[in-house]
Amino acid sequence: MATRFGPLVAADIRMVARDPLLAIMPFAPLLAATALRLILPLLAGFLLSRLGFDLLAWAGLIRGIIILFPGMFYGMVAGFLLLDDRDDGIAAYWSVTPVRRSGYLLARLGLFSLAAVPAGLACALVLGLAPLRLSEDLVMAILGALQVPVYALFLAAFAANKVEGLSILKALGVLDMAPLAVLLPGSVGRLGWPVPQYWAAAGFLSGLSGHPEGIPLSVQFPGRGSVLAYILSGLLYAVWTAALLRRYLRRLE
Amino acid sequence: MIHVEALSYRYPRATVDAVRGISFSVGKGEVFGFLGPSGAGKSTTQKILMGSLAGYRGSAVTGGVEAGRADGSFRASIGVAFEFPCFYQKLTGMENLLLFSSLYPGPKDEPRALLDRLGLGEAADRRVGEYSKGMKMRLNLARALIHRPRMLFLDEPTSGLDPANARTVRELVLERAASGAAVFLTTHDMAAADALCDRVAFLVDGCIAACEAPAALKRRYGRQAVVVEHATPVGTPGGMPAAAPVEFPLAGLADNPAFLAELRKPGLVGVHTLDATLDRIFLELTGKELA
Repeated sequence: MATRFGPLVAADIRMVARDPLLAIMPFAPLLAATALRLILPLLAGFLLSRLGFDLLAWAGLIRGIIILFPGMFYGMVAGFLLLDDRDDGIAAYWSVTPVRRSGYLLARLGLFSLAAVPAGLACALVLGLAPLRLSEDLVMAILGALQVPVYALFLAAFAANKVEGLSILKALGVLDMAPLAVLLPGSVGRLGWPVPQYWAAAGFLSGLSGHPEGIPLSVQFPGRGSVLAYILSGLLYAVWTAALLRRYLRRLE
Repeated sequence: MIHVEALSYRYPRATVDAVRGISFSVGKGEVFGFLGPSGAGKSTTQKILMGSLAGYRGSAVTGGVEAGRADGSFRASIGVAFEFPCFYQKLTGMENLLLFSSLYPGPKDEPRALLDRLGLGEAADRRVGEYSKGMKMRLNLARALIHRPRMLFLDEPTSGLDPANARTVRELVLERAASGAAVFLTTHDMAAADALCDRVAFLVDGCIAACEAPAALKRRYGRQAVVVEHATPVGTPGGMPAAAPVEFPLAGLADNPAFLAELRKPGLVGVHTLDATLDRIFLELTGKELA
Protein backbone atom coordinates (compact mmCIF):
# COMPACT_ATOMS: atom_id res chain seq x y z
CA MET A 1 0.00 0.00 0.00
CA ALA A 2 2.78 2.39 0.98
CA THR A 3 4.53 1.75 -2.32
CA ARG A 4 1.39 2.85 -4.13
CA PHE A 5 0.90 5.95 -2.00
CA GLY A 6 4.55 6.99 -2.25
CA PRO A 7 4.32 8.25 -5.84
CA LEU A 8 1.07 10.10 -5.05
CA VAL A 9 2.73 11.86 -2.13
CA ALA A 10 5.81 12.67 -4.24
CA ALA A 11 3.59 14.09 -6.99
CA ASP A 12 1.76 16.31 -4.51
CA ILE A 13 5.03 17.67 -3.11
CA ARG A 14 6.26 18.35 -6.65
CA MET A 15 3.05 20.17 -7.57
CA VAL A 16 3.15 22.34 -4.45
CA ALA A 17 6.80 23.22 -5.11
CA ARG A 18 5.94 24.27 -8.69
CA ASP A 19 3.08 26.57 -7.72
CA PRO A 20 4.28 29.99 -6.49
CA LEU A 21 1.20 30.51 -4.29
CA LEU A 22 1.10 27.03 -2.78
CA ALA A 23 4.88 26.77 -2.32
CA ILE A 24 4.94 29.53 0.29
CA MET A 25 1.89 28.38 2.26
CA PRO A 26 3.54 25.52 4.20
CA PHE A 27 5.99 28.04 5.65
CA ALA A 28 3.42 30.75 6.42
CA PRO A 29 2.60 29.46 9.96
CA LEU A 30 6.29 29.45 10.89
CA LEU A 31 6.69 32.96 9.53
CA ALA A 32 3.64 34.05 11.54
CA ALA A 33 5.06 32.43 14.71
CA THR A 34 8.42 34.14 14.13
CA ALA A 35 6.75 37.51 13.61
CA LEU A 36 4.67 37.07 16.76
CA ARG A 37 7.73 36.12 18.77
CA LEU A 38 9.35 39.39 17.78
CA ILE A 39 6.26 41.57 18.05
CA LEU A 40 4.45 40.19 21.11
CA PRO A 41 6.98 41.23 23.80
CA LEU A 42 7.07 44.75 22.37
CA LEU A 43 3.29 44.90 22.10
CA ALA A 44 2.86 43.42 25.60
CA GLY A 45 5.19 46.03 27.07
CA PHE A 46 3.31 48.80 25.30
CA LEU A 47 -0.13 47.56 26.42
CA LEU A 48 1.04 47.08 30.02
CA SER A 49 2.56 50.53 30.32
CA ARG A 50 -0.21 52.43 28.54
CA LEU A 51 -3.36 50.44 29.38
CA GLY A 52 -2.30 48.28 32.30
CA PHE A 53 -3.33 45.21 30.27
CA ASP A 54 -1.07 42.16 30.68
CA LEU A 55 -1.14 40.49 27.27
CA LEU A 56 1.38 37.86 28.29
CA ALA A 57 -1.13 36.54 30.81
CA TRP A 58 -2.84 35.08 27.71
CA ALA A 59 0.32 33.43 26.45
CA GLY A 60 -1.12 29.91 26.79
CA LEU A 61 -4.11 30.73 24.61
CA ILE A 62 -1.94 32.48 22.01
CA ARG A 63 0.38 29.49 21.96
CA GLY A 64 -2.56 27.10 21.52
CA ILE A 65 -3.91 29.09 18.58
CA ILE A 66 -0.49 29.21 16.94
CA ILE A 67 -0.11 25.43 17.22
CA LEU A 68 -3.42 25.10 15.33
CA PHE A 69 -2.24 27.39 12.52
CA PRO A 70 -0.41 24.86 10.27
CA GLY A 71 -3.53 22.67 10.09
CA MET A 72 -5.41 25.53 8.50
CA PHE A 73 -2.66 26.41 6.03
CA TYR A 74 -1.92 22.82 5.06
CA GLY A 75 -5.64 22.22 4.65
CA MET A 76 -5.77 25.18 2.26
CA VAL A 77 -2.93 23.72 0.18
CA ALA A 78 -4.63 20.31 0.02
CA GLY A 79 -7.92 22.07 -0.80
CA PHE A 80 -6.44 23.99 -3.71
CA LEU A 81 -4.93 20.80 -5.10
CA LEU A 82 -8.32 19.06 -4.82
CA LEU A 83 -9.94 22.04 -6.50
CA ASP A 84 -7.50 21.84 -9.41
CA ASP A 85 -8.05 18.10 -9.72
CA ARG A 86 -11.81 18.50 -9.68
CA ASP A 87 -11.68 21.14 -12.42
CA ASP A 88 -9.21 19.14 -14.54
CA GLY A 89 -11.26 15.94 -14.22
CA ILE A 90 -8.47 13.96 -12.54
CA ALA A 91 -10.54 13.38 -9.41
CA ALA A 92 -12.95 11.36 -11.58
CA TYR A 93 -10.12 9.43 -13.23
CA TRP A 94 -8.86 8.09 -9.91
CA SER A 95 -12.05 6.06 -9.54
CA VAL A 96 -10.98 3.74 -12.38
CA THR A 97 -7.48 3.10 -10.97
CA PRO A 98 -6.59 0.40 -8.42
CA VAL A 99 -6.15 2.94 -5.60
CA ARG A 100 -9.63 4.34 -6.30
CA ARG A 101 -10.79 7.76 -5.21
CA SER A 102 -10.55 6.79 -1.54
CA GLY A 103 -6.83 5.98 -1.85
CA TYR A 104 -6.15 9.20 -3.67
CA LEU A 105 -7.94 11.25 -0.99
CA LEU A 106 -6.26 9.30 1.79
CA ALA A 107 -2.79 9.93 0.34
CA ARG A 108 -3.37 13.63 -0.15
CA LEU A 109 -5.16 14.40 3.09
CA GLY A 110 -2.85 12.06 5.01
CA LEU A 111 0.28 13.76 3.68
CA PHE A 112 -0.80 17.26 4.68
CA SER A 113 -2.30 16.13 8.00
CA LEU A 114 0.92 14.33 8.95
CA ALA A 115 3.01 17.33 7.91
CA ALA A 116 0.84 19.64 10.03
CA VAL A 117 1.78 17.85 13.30
CA PRO A 118 5.54 18.64 13.36
CA ALA A 119 4.77 22.03 11.85
CA GLY A 120 2.43 22.78 14.78
CA LEU A 121 5.13 21.76 17.29
CA ALA A 122 7.71 23.82 15.40
CA CYS A 123 5.41 26.84 15.63
CA ALA A 124 5.16 26.34 19.41
CA LEU A 125 8.93 26.18 19.69
CA VAL A 126 9.46 29.25 17.54
CA LEU A 127 6.83 31.26 19.40
CA GLY A 128 8.17 30.37 22.85
CA LEU A 129 6.18 32.46 25.37
CA ALA A 130 5.38 29.56 27.66
CA PRO A 131 7.40 26.54 28.77
CA LEU A 132 7.24 23.49 26.50
CA ARG A 133 4.54 21.01 27.53
CA LEU A 134 5.25 18.24 25.06
CA SER A 135 2.18 16.05 25.63
CA GLU A 136 -0.30 18.95 25.60
CA ASP A 137 1.45 20.63 22.67
CA LEU A 138 1.46 17.33 20.79
CA VAL A 139 -2.26 16.74 21.39
CA MET A 140 -2.95 20.28 20.24
CA ALA A 141 -0.82 19.76 17.11
CA ILE A 142 -2.70 16.53 16.32
CA LEU A 143 -6.04 18.29 16.74
CA GLY A 144 -4.68 21.06 14.54
CA ALA A 145 -3.78 18.49 11.88
CA LEU A 146 -7.38 17.26 11.89
CA GLN A 147 -8.29 20.63 10.40
CA VAL A 148 -6.60 19.60 7.14
CA PRO A 149 -9.46 17.44 5.78
CA VAL A 150 -12.05 19.95 6.98
CA TYR A 151 -10.50 22.92 5.20
CA ALA A 152 -9.50 20.89 2.13
CA LEU A 153 -12.91 19.27 1.63
CA PHE A 154 -14.75 22.51 2.38
CA LEU A 155 -12.82 24.24 -0.41
CA ALA A 156 -13.22 21.38 -2.87
CA ALA A 157 -16.93 20.97 -2.08
CA PHE A 158 -18.02 24.60 -2.21
CA ALA A 159 -15.58 26.68 -4.26
CA ALA A 160 -16.30 27.01 -7.97
CA ASN A 161 -12.69 27.97 -8.70
CA LYS A 162 -9.45 29.14 -7.07
CA VAL A 163 -10.52 32.79 -6.82
CA GLU A 164 -13.74 31.79 -5.07
CA GLY A 165 -11.64 29.44 -2.95
CA LEU A 166 -9.56 32.35 -1.68
CA SER A 167 -12.73 34.24 -0.70
CA ILE A 168 -14.05 31.18 1.14
CA LEU A 169 -10.75 30.86 2.98
CA LYS A 170 -10.96 34.43 4.22
CA ALA A 171 -14.32 33.56 5.76
CA LEU A 172 -13.04 30.26 7.15
CA GLY A 173 -10.06 32.02 8.75
CA VAL A 174 -12.50 33.13 11.46
CA LEU A 175 -12.60 29.52 12.63
CA ASP A 176 -9.03 29.72 13.83
CA MET A 177 -10.07 32.55 16.11
CA ALA A 178 -12.88 30.34 17.47
CA PRO A 179 -10.71 29.33 20.47
CA LEU A 180 -11.11 32.88 21.73
CA ALA A 181 -14.76 32.00 22.36
CA VAL A 182 -13.63 30.09 25.47
CA LEU A 183 -13.13 33.52 27.03
CA LEU A 184 -16.66 34.68 26.31
CA PRO A 185 -19.06 34.54 29.22
CA GLY A 186 -21.70 31.79 29.65
CA SER A 187 -24.29 31.50 26.89
CA VAL A 188 -22.35 33.68 24.42
CA GLY A 189 -19.42 31.28 24.68
CA ARG A 190 -21.70 28.45 23.55
CA LEU A 191 -21.52 29.90 20.04
CA GLY A 192 -18.17 28.18 19.81
CA TRP A 193 -19.49 24.73 20.74
CA PRO A 194 -19.98 23.40 17.16
CA VAL A 195 -16.41 24.40 16.28
CA PRO A 196 -13.76 21.73 17.00
CA GLN A 197 -11.05 24.35 17.54
CA TYR A 198 -13.08 25.75 20.45
CA TRP A 199 -12.90 22.45 22.35
CA ALA A 200 -9.24 22.03 21.47
CA ALA A 201 -8.49 25.38 23.07
CA ALA A 202 -10.75 24.63 26.02
CA GLY A 203 -8.83 21.40 26.64
CA PHE A 204 -5.49 23.13 26.20
CA LEU A 205 -6.36 25.83 28.73
CA SER A 206 -7.96 23.39 31.17
CA GLY A 207 -4.70 21.46 31.07
CA LEU A 208 -2.75 24.43 32.38
CA SER A 209 -2.27 23.54 36.02
CA GLY A 210 -4.58 25.65 38.18
CA HIS A 211 -5.14 28.10 35.33
CA PRO A 212 -2.17 30.25 36.37
CA GLU A 213 -3.28 32.85 33.91
CA GLY A 214 -6.53 33.30 35.80
CA ILE A 215 -8.52 33.00 32.61
CA PRO A 216 -12.31 32.96 33.18
CA LEU A 217 -13.23 30.06 30.91
CA SER A 218 -16.80 29.87 29.63
CA VAL A 219 -16.70 26.13 30.23
CA GLN A 220 -15.05 24.36 33.12
CA PHE A 221 -13.99 20.75 33.21
CA PRO A 222 -13.65 18.95 36.49
CA GLY A 223 -10.82 16.43 37.02
CA ARG A 224 -9.40 15.22 33.69
CA GLY A 225 -11.60 17.66 31.85
CA SER A 226 -8.97 18.51 29.27
CA VAL A 227 -9.13 14.93 27.95
CA LEU A 228 -12.89 15.20 27.57
CA ALA A 229 -12.51 18.48 25.68
CA TYR A 230 -9.90 16.97 23.38
CA ILE A 231 -12.16 13.98 22.67
CA LEU A 232 -15.07 16.32 21.92
CA SER A 233 -12.84 18.27 19.56
CA GLY A 234 -11.76 15.08 17.76
CA LEU A 235 -15.34 13.87 17.44
CA LEU A 236 -16.45 17.19 16.01
CA TYR A 237 -13.64 17.07 13.45
CA ALA A 238 -14.83 13.58 12.43
CA VAL A 239 -18.43 14.77 12.02
CA TRP A 240 -17.41 17.80 9.95
CA THR A 241 -15.05 15.71 7.81
CA ALA A 242 -17.72 13.08 7.11
CA ALA A 243 -20.32 15.71 6.17
CA LEU A 244 -17.93 17.60 3.90
CA LEU A 245 -16.65 14.39 2.28
CA ARG A 246 -20.22 13.48 1.40
CA ARG A 247 -20.79 16.91 -0.11
CA TYR A 248 -17.51 16.77 -2.05
CA LEU A 249 -18.24 13.32 -3.50
CA ARG A 250 -21.71 14.46 -4.55
CA ARG A 251 -20.14 17.41 -6.33
CA LEU A 252 -17.81 15.07 -8.24
CA GLU A 253 -20.68 12.96 -9.59
CA MET B 1 -14.08 -11.08 -21.71
CA ILE B 2 -17.10 -8.80 -21.34
CA HIS B 3 -20.55 -10.29 -21.04
CA VAL B 4 -23.61 -8.09 -20.62
CA GLU B 5 -27.07 -9.52 -20.11
CA ALA B 6 -30.34 -7.54 -19.84
CA LEU B 7 -28.50 -4.54 -18.43
CA SER B 8 -30.61 -1.58 -17.31
CA TYR B 9 -29.81 1.52 -15.32
CA ARG B 10 -31.83 4.45 -14.06
CA TYR B 11 -30.16 7.49 -12.51
CA PRO B 12 -31.49 8.66 -9.16
CA ARG B 13 -34.46 11.02 -9.58
CA ALA B 14 -34.74 10.15 -13.32
CA THR B 15 -38.11 8.99 -14.62
CA VAL B 16 -36.82 6.72 -17.40
CA ASP B 17 -33.95 4.25 -17.73
CA ALA B 18 -30.75 5.54 -19.34
CA VAL B 19 -29.90 1.98 -20.40
CA ARG B 20 -32.74 -0.39 -21.24
CA GLY B 21 -32.12 -4.11 -21.09
CA ILE B 22 -29.14 -4.35 -23.43
CA SER B 23 -27.19 -7.55 -24.04
CA PHE B 24 -23.88 -8.07 -25.83
CA SER B 25 -20.49 -9.66 -25.35
CA VAL B 26 -16.93 -8.76 -26.30
CA GLY B 27 -14.39 -11.52 -26.81
CA LYS B 28 -10.67 -11.66 -26.09
CA GLY B 29 -8.79 -9.77 -28.81
CA GLU B 30 -11.95 -8.19 -30.17
CA VAL B 31 -12.43 -4.47 -30.84
CA PHE B 32 -16.06 -3.69 -30.09
CA GLY B 33 -17.46 -0.32 -31.14
CA PHE B 34 -20.24 1.22 -29.11
CA LEU B 35 -21.78 3.88 -31.30
CA GLY B 36 -24.56 6.31 -30.72
CA PRO B 37 -25.51 9.96 -30.36
CA SER B 38 -24.93 11.94 -27.17
CA GLY B 39 -27.26 10.86 -24.39
CA ALA B 40 -27.86 7.41 -25.88
CA GLY B 41 -26.42 5.65 -22.83
CA LYS B 42 -22.88 4.92 -24.05
CA SER B 43 -21.07 6.54 -21.13
CA THR B 44 -23.47 5.03 -18.61
CA THR B 45 -22.82 1.55 -19.98
CA GLN B 46 -19.08 2.15 -19.98
CA LYS B 47 -19.16 3.40 -16.38
CA ILE B 48 -21.03 0.27 -15.31
CA LEU B 49 -18.53 -1.99 -17.10
CA MET B 50 -15.59 -0.18 -15.48
CA GLY B 51 -17.12 -0.71 -12.04
CA SER B 52 -17.75 3.01 -11.50
CA LEU B 53 -21.54 2.89 -11.38
CA ALA B 54 -23.40 0.58 -9.04
CA GLY B 55 -27.12 -0.02 -8.69
CA TYR B 56 -27.74 -1.41 -12.17
CA ARG B 57 -30.16 -4.21 -13.03
CA GLY B 58 -29.21 -7.29 -15.03
CA SER B 59 -25.66 -8.55 -15.34
CA ALA B 60 -22.40 -6.95 -16.48
CA VAL B 61 -19.47 -9.34 -16.11
CA THR B 62 -16.09 -7.91 -17.08
CA GLY B 63 -13.02 -10.14 -16.97
CA GLY B 64 -14.97 -12.70 -14.96
CA VAL B 65 -15.97 -10.16 -12.31
CA GLU B 66 -19.48 -8.78 -11.86
CA ALA B 67 -18.92 -5.04 -12.33
CA GLY B 68 -20.87 -4.16 -9.19
CA ARG B 69 -18.30 -6.09 -7.14
CA ALA B 70 -15.22 -4.64 -8.86
CA ASP B 71 -12.21 -4.35 -6.56
CA GLY B 72 -8.66 -3.10 -6.84
CA SER B 73 -7.39 -6.11 -8.77
CA PHE B 74 -10.24 -5.72 -11.27
CA ARG B 75 -9.28 -2.08 -11.78
CA ALA B 76 -5.65 -3.12 -12.26
CA SER B 77 -6.79 -5.25 -15.23
CA ILE B 78 -8.48 -2.43 -17.15
CA GLY B 79 -7.05 0.53 -19.05
CA VAL B 80 -9.20 3.60 -19.49
CA ALA B 81 -8.91 6.65 -21.74
CA PHE B 82 -11.71 9.15 -21.15
CA GLU B 83 -12.87 11.42 -23.98
CA PHE B 84 -11.42 14.48 -22.25
CA PRO B 85 -7.81 13.82 -21.25
CA CYS B 86 -7.16 14.79 -17.64
CA PHE B 87 -3.64 15.16 -16.24
CA TYR B 88 -1.68 17.05 -13.65
CA GLN B 89 -0.85 20.20 -15.56
CA LYS B 90 2.20 21.06 -13.45
CA LEU B 91 3.81 17.65 -13.97
CA THR B 92 5.57 16.65 -17.17
CA GLY B 93 4.14 14.07 -19.54
CA MET B 94 6.66 11.53 -18.29
CA GLU B 95 5.96 12.32 -14.61
CA ASN B 96 2.24 11.88 -15.20
CA LEU B 97 2.78 8.60 -17.00
CA LEU B 98 5.11 7.25 -14.30
CA LEU B 99 2.74 8.33 -11.51
CA PHE B 100 -0.25 6.47 -12.95
CA SER B 101 1.87 3.53 -14.07
CA SER B 102 3.15 3.12 -10.49
CA LEU B 103 -0.39 2.32 -9.32
CA TYR B 104 -0.48 -0.94 -11.27
CA PRO B 105 1.23 -4.22 -10.42
CA GLY B 106 2.84 -6.48 -12.99
CA PRO B 107 4.87 -5.96 -16.16
CA LYS B 108 4.59 -2.65 -17.96
CA ASP B 109 5.64 -1.03 -21.21
CA GLU B 110 8.83 0.99 -21.24
CA PRO B 111 7.44 4.54 -20.84
CA ARG B 112 9.97 6.34 -23.04
CA ALA B 113 9.45 3.87 -25.89
CA LEU B 114 5.67 4.19 -25.63
CA LEU B 115 5.87 7.99 -25.70
CA ASP B 116 8.26 7.82 -28.65
CA ARG B 117 5.84 5.58 -30.50
CA LEU B 118 3.08 8.13 -29.95
CA GLY B 119 5.28 10.99 -31.10
CA LEU B 120 5.65 12.43 -27.61
CA GLY B 121 9.29 11.50 -26.99
CA GLU B 122 10.61 15.03 -27.37
CA ALA B 123 7.79 16.51 -25.27
CA ALA B 124 8.07 13.90 -22.51
CA ASP B 125 9.86 16.26 -20.13
CA ARG B 126 7.62 19.24 -20.81
CA ARG B 127 4.77 20.07 -18.44
CA VAL B 128 1.40 18.83 -19.60
CA GLY B 129 0.04 22.37 -19.22
CA GLU B 130 2.06 23.21 -22.35
CA TYR B 131 0.63 20.30 -24.39
CA SER B 132 -1.84 20.74 -27.26
CA LYS B 133 -5.14 18.83 -27.19
CA GLY B 134 -3.75 16.26 -29.63
CA MET B 135 -0.69 15.65 -27.45
CA LYS B 136 -2.88 15.18 -24.38
CA MET B 137 -5.03 12.70 -26.32
CA ARG B 138 -1.94 10.65 -27.16
CA LEU B 139 -0.70 10.78 -23.58
CA ASN B 140 -4.19 9.71 -22.56
CA LEU B 141 -3.81 6.57 -24.66
CA ALA B 142 -0.30 5.94 -23.33
CA ARG B 143 -1.67 6.03 -19.77
CA ALA B 144 -4.39 3.53 -20.70
CA LEU B 145 -1.90 1.15 -22.34
CA ILE B 146 1.24 1.30 -20.21
CA HIS B 147 0.25 -1.41 -17.70
CA ARG B 148 -0.79 -3.82 -20.47
CA PRO B 149 -4.44 -4.16 -19.45
CA ARG B 150 -6.56 -7.13 -20.43
CA MET B 151 -9.50 -4.83 -21.17
CA LEU B 152 -9.33 -1.40 -22.73
CA PHE B 153 -12.08 1.20 -22.50
CA LEU B 154 -11.44 3.96 -25.01
CA ASP B 155 -13.69 6.97 -25.49
CA GLU B 156 -13.12 8.86 -28.77
CA PRO B 157 -9.39 7.94 -28.89
CA THR B 158 -8.75 9.70 -32.22
CA SER B 159 -10.63 12.91 -31.43
CA GLY B 160 -8.54 16.02 -32.16
CA LEU B 161 -5.71 14.06 -33.82
CA ASP B 162 -4.19 14.76 -37.23
CA PRO B 163 -4.43 11.88 -39.75
CA ALA B 164 -0.87 10.64 -39.12
CA ASN B 165 -1.29 10.49 -35.34
CA ALA B 166 -4.79 9.04 -35.69
CA ARG B 167 -3.27 6.24 -37.76
CA THR B 168 -0.61 5.58 -35.08
CA VAL B 169 -3.32 5.41 -32.43
CA ARG B 170 -5.38 2.99 -34.53
CA GLU B 171 -2.31 0.81 -35.10
CA LEU B 172 -1.54 0.68 -31.39
CA VAL B 173 -5.12 -0.24 -30.51
CA LEU B 174 -5.13 -3.01 -33.12
CA GLU B 175 -1.78 -4.31 -31.82
CA ARG B 176 -3.17 -4.55 -28.29
CA ALA B 177 -6.22 -6.36 -29.58
CA ALA B 178 -3.95 -8.72 -31.53
CA SER B 179 -2.10 -9.48 -28.30
CA GLY B 180 -5.37 -10.51 -26.67
CA ALA B 181 -6.86 -7.40 -25.08
CA ALA B 182 -10.60 -6.83 -25.39
CA VAL B 183 -11.23 -3.28 -26.58
CA PHE B 184 -14.48 -1.44 -25.81
CA LEU B 185 -14.50 1.63 -28.04
CA THR B 186 -17.03 4.40 -27.59
CA THR B 187 -17.16 6.86 -30.46
CA HIS B 188 -19.10 9.13 -32.79
CA ASP B 189 -16.38 8.75 -35.40
CA MET B 190 -17.69 6.29 -37.96
CA ALA B 191 -14.42 6.25 -39.91
CA ALA B 192 -12.50 5.23 -36.79
CA ALA B 193 -15.12 2.63 -35.93
CA ASP B 194 -15.02 1.26 -39.46
CA ALA B 195 -11.23 1.03 -39.42
CA LEU B 196 -10.89 -0.47 -35.94
CA CYS B 197 -13.90 -2.49 -34.96
CA ASP B 198 -14.56 -6.17 -35.45
CA ARG B 199 -18.18 -5.51 -34.47
CA VAL B 200 -20.20 -2.40 -33.73
CA ALA B 201 -23.36 -1.89 -31.70
CA PHE B 202 -25.67 1.04 -32.47
CA LEU B 203 -27.14 2.42 -29.29
CA VAL B 204 -30.16 4.68 -29.36
CA ASP B 205 -32.26 5.79 -26.40
CA GLY B 206 -30.60 3.15 -24.21
CA CYS B 207 -31.37 0.26 -26.59
CA ILE B 208 -29.15 -1.59 -29.05
CA ALA B 209 -30.65 -1.13 -32.52
CA ALA B 210 -28.10 -3.33 -34.30
CA CYS B 211 -24.96 -5.26 -33.43
CA GLU B 212 -22.82 -6.71 -36.20
CA ALA B 213 -19.51 -6.51 -38.08
CA PRO B 214 -19.21 -3.22 -40.01
CA ALA B 215 -18.63 -5.03 -43.30
CA ALA B 216 -21.75 -7.17 -42.82
CA LEU B 217 -23.83 -4.12 -41.99
CA LYS B 218 -22.54 -2.26 -45.00
CA ARG B 219 -23.30 -5.16 -47.26
CA ARG B 220 -26.78 -5.58 -45.90
CA TYR B 221 -27.74 -1.94 -46.03
CA GLY B 222 -25.76 -0.99 -49.14
CA ARG B 223 -27.00 -1.30 -52.75
CA GLN B 224 -25.64 -4.21 -54.72
CA ALA B 225 -24.47 -2.01 -57.56
CA VAL B 226 -21.55 -0.09 -59.03
CA VAL B 227 -21.48 3.42 -60.42
CA VAL B 228 -19.36 4.43 -63.42
CA GLU B 229 -18.32 8.07 -63.65
CA HIS B 230 -16.89 10.02 -66.57
CA ALA B 231 -15.26 13.44 -66.63
CA THR B 232 -16.97 16.28 -68.48
CA PRO B 233 -15.61 16.12 -72.05
CA VAL B 234 -12.92 18.67 -72.91
CA GLY B 235 -14.32 21.58 -74.89
CA THR B 236 -17.77 21.28 -73.33
CA PRO B 237 -19.27 24.75 -73.19
CA GLY B 238 -19.20 26.35 -69.72
CA GLY B 239 -22.27 25.68 -67.66
CA MET B 240 -22.85 22.27 -69.21
CA PRO B 241 -23.41 19.61 -66.54
CA ALA B 242 -20.86 16.79 -66.14
CA ALA B 243 -21.83 13.38 -67.53
CA ALA B 244 -24.26 11.71 -65.12
CA PRO B 245 -22.89 8.63 -63.29
CA VAL B 246 -24.37 5.40 -64.55
CA GLU B 247 -25.40 2.63 -62.15
CA PHE B 248 -25.18 -1.12 -62.88
CA PRO B 249 -26.30 -4.03 -60.71
CA LEU B 250 -23.52 -6.25 -59.33
CA ALA B 251 -25.28 -9.40 -60.47
CA GLY B 252 -23.90 -10.44 -63.87
CA LEU B 253 -21.69 -7.37 -64.03
CA ALA B 254 -18.85 -9.11 -65.91
CA ASP B 255 -21.24 -10.07 -68.70
CA ASN B 256 -23.19 -6.81 -68.79
CA PRO B 257 -22.54 -5.28 -72.28
CA ALA B 258 -23.84 -1.86 -71.24
CA PHE B 259 -21.40 -1.80 -68.33
CA LEU B 260 -18.49 -2.87 -70.55
CA ALA B 261 -19.43 -0.26 -73.14
CA GLU B 262 -19.53 2.38 -70.43
CA LEU B 263 -16.00 1.40 -69.38
CA ARG B 264 -14.75 1.85 -72.94
CA LYS B 265 -16.02 5.41 -73.24
CA PRO B 266 -13.31 8.10 -73.04
CA GLY B 267 -12.90 10.15 -69.85
CA LEU B 268 -13.52 7.33 -67.34
CA VAL B 269 -12.67 8.68 -63.85
CA GLY B 270 -14.04 6.11 -61.47
CA VAL B 271 -15.97 2.95 -60.71
CA HIS B 272 -17.48 2.77 -57.21
CA THR B 273 -19.49 0.25 -55.26
CA LEU B 274 -22.55 1.55 -53.45
CA ASP B 275 -21.71 0.27 -49.96
CA ALA B 276 -23.61 2.02 -47.23
CA THR B 277 -21.60 4.08 -44.75
CA LEU B 278 -22.03 3.44 -41.02
CA ASP B 279 -23.51 6.94 -40.67
CA ARG B 280 -26.19 6.17 -43.25
CA ILE B 281 -26.94 2.81 -41.69
CA PHE B 282 -27.31 4.41 -38.30
CA LEU B 283 -29.66 7.05 -39.71
CA GLU B 284 -31.68 4.39 -41.50
CA LEU B 285 -31.95 2.19 -38.40
CA THR B 286 -32.71 4.83 -35.85
CA GLY B 287 -33.87 7.93 -37.67
CA LYS B 288 -31.24 9.86 -35.69
CA GLU B 289 -28.02 11.62 -36.62
CA LEU B 290 -24.87 10.50 -34.80
CA ALA B 291 -23.36 13.92 -34.13
